[in-house]
Amino acid sequence: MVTFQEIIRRLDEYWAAQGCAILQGYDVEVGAGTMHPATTLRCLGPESWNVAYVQPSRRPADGRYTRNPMRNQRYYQYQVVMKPSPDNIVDLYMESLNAIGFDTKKNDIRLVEDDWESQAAGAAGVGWEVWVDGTEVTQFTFFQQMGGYDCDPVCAEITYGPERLCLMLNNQNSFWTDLQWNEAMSYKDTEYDLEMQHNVYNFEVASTEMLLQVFDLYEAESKRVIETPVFWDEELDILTTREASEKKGALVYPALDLALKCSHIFNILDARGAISVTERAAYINRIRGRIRACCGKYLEKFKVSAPAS
Amino acid sequence: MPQLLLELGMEELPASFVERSFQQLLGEVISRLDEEAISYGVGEAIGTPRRLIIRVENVSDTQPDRTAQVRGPALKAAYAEDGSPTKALEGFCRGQGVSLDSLSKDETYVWATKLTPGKPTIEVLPAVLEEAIRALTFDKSMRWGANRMRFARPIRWILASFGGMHVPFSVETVSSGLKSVGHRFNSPESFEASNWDALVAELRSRQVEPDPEIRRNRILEGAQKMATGTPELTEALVEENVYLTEWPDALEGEFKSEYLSLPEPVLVTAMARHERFFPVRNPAGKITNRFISIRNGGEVSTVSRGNAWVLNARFNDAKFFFDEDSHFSMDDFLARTDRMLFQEKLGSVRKRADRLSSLAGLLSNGNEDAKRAGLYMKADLSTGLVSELASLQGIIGGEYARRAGWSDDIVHAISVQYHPERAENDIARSVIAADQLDKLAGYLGLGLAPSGSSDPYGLRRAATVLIELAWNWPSTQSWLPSFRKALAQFEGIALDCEAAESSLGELFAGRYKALVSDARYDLLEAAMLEQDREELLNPNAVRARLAALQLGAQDPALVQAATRPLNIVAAAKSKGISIGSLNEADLDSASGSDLANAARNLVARSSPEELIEQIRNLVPAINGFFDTTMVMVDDLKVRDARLALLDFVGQKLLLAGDWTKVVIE
Repeated sequence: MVTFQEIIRRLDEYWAAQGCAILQGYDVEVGAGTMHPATTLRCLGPESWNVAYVQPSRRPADGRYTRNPMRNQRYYQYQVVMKPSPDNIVDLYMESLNAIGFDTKKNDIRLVEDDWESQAAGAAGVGWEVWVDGTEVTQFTFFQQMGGYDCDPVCAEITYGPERLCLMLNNQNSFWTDLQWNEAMSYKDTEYDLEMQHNVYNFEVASTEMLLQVFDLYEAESKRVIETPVFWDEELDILTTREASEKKGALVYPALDLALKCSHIFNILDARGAISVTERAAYINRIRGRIRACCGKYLEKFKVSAPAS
Repeated sequence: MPQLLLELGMEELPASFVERSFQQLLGEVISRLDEEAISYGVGEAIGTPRRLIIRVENVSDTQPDRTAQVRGPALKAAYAEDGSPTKALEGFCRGQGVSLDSLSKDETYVWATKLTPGKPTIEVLPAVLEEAIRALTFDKSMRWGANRMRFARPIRWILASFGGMHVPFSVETVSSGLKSVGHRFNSPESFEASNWDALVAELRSRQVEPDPEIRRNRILEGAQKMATGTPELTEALVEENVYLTEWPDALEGEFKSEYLSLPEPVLVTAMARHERFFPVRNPAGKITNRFISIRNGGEVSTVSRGNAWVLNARFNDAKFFFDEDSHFSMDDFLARTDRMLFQEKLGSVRKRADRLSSLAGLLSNGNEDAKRAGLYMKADLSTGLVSELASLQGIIGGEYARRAGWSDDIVHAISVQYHPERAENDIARSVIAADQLDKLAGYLGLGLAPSGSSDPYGLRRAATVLIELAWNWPSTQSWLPSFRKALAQFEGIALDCEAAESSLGELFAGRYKALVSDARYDLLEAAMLEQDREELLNPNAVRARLAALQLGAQDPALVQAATRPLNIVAAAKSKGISIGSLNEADLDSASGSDLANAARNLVARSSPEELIEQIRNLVPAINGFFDTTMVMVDDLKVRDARLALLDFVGQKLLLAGDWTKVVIE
């Protein structure tokens, strides 16, 4: 039997060997590893960027009070980003399946067309779902756009679902009765109470009135922060709100955190059914506006500035 | 003569792209050979998700010499008065590389005959092949790595051979060679091949069947051989599997029989749509817990176990919702739609249910089952199973109505709401019509008519459903009165009824054109009677008129005669003359009285053949009248009586359509 932490350890080891820095998950609630700034921001711009990390991800609407054996509102994604996408990235990925315990000569592995889009992030990519014997185990995407900006060069994003990989490798059926975190502790031991309580909170207890207000506040704050002028103090080598020099910066990361807050709040409201179909599009547009602003400011740092006279 | 062979290797293409792409690749290569004047023989194209392969036989190994006439300076500028060449002419000759004595002249210019010697084909091919690859177009393309190029998926290798010789070129970072690779997992090492037969034979020995037709047969035969029952080999799904595999092999699997308690459409959707498996039916036609999957690699036992695992997981997921839903009644589901919005201004899905019920009642002469089906037809929107499997809306509602013990008619009506062609009785048709009419009334009443290519609410589809419903249900009259009833259901919601009716007319006109695209345009225009909204919104009448006009239009004399009364009345009306009703006393024309009698005998709504026959019989009377009688006479009383007669005749002629729109060929 392979444990949940063992799967993650094998993925870390494999991708580290391919030159990826093993980062940690981001500390703001996100719906997917894509919203970690290590992907959202770093997929933009000309620099090369090779990282992998586990991202705890929250999707309130997917909560099933633990009664569905393979779905929960907080779960883990294993995310790999390589920019520019290496020519042999598909081959590298296939080897990772062997590294975690599949056998590409025994399992039937397929790349099935599946393009990815996130309206809230203004992001789009082209790629596949990877199937192992008919089960989707990975989303494999060549990012084309983020925040409405073209990705150039293009990165490959590989997202695994480690819980499901683990069940498949062990021929098990449920997160809650079968999955072991390590030899001593089960996934249920570590996750069950959190999952159950968040289900009740998301679906029954969360104050929609408060959340609607907080959405507005975070949105306004994200806007204020991204528009706040900051400058490099060349002498102290720090960023400051003082007009220390002509060299401008921007508070991209704080503004993105605030935009991510909006996104998560929206997801809870959506799970509660508190947002109608037409309002939905308007909220998604508002989130996209904030993320786009962050991406735009982030990209400014790569613009060639006019040579000083 | 040599064979040209090209294999383009890529990461897996979307299944629906493969066939179009290898066909296009062959076409692009051939059109460029034509441009280069290089002769060739037969061509062939095949492929898999990972490779497009083409061959062109008997390609000439040299390009023929080509000559072209190049215009030089005008005669006046080319020669001095003494006839000696000017500097301009000498310069032209140098530039073109021709001698002075090879020039020819016409009345104004000097011409050089320029010879372009043919190159060896092997030198022309690199550009031909590279451009052909770059010319491929896809429904959706992408960039990868640091490349600028857009393509369906990243290119990995190119094999290019001409008579066994390597044709060297590059596309972005990939250089051509004489190497290919086999099956992604079973035979990934590269090998060399420089002609079609060798490549195909090598690929087959490396678990790649490059020919889609052979893969298709293998899938069909394998599925039939393996299945314990009858596999449901729908064409689209077979096709998809052909292009999802390089080395297809059918195997039968089995899921837990407890899931057979799920509704059949749920089982079929999970197998066929989500997993691309073929469901297997028993001799009685019922779904069994067997399925056929088409593997592309791996070991049978491992793949089979994995396939069963994923289906069991999917069915377990569906069963969870199915069982959850079983704790609730249809009334509970209906009540929950109160929280679901149909449209911001049009209110909730629950409110809509009341409108659908009463409208279905009005359309079915008060049938109680129709009212009930209308009330509950959208209730399944609030079920767990539909939230998971949205494509089964309606079908799930029907299943749950059956589970609740409701009548077959109600179950049927709810189940077929998205499939008008499957409607078997008037109850189902009333319910389907109510759904479409309510949607059209609400959205068009709010001014949300579709424009251009954008139809976000599916209103064109709704109009199509109403038209086809009427065609399959010949007793249907004009939809206009029903549409007005639908508009009237929106109590307390401000709708612009006149604008809605007008938009509906435009929608119908557009739909007729799309639905009977093989009919003559002028005849369809004539048959629609667009100015008469009630007639325009009556699909059966439009169709009958179109049939009559198609018969009548074959007889130009008939069209001419039928057009005259309509034209004269229209001209009079445009001058502001008001047309009264038939008044034979003041006609003062014997042939006019004959015409009145003949027209009176024409009875409405017979078959198209009979109608045209009757109009044909009217022709001598129409011509007789015009031959003997002047219409626009000074005596206004007589004039008006004659116009009234023509209007009376015109109304009869309009039973077949507006003849003035018919073009005489």
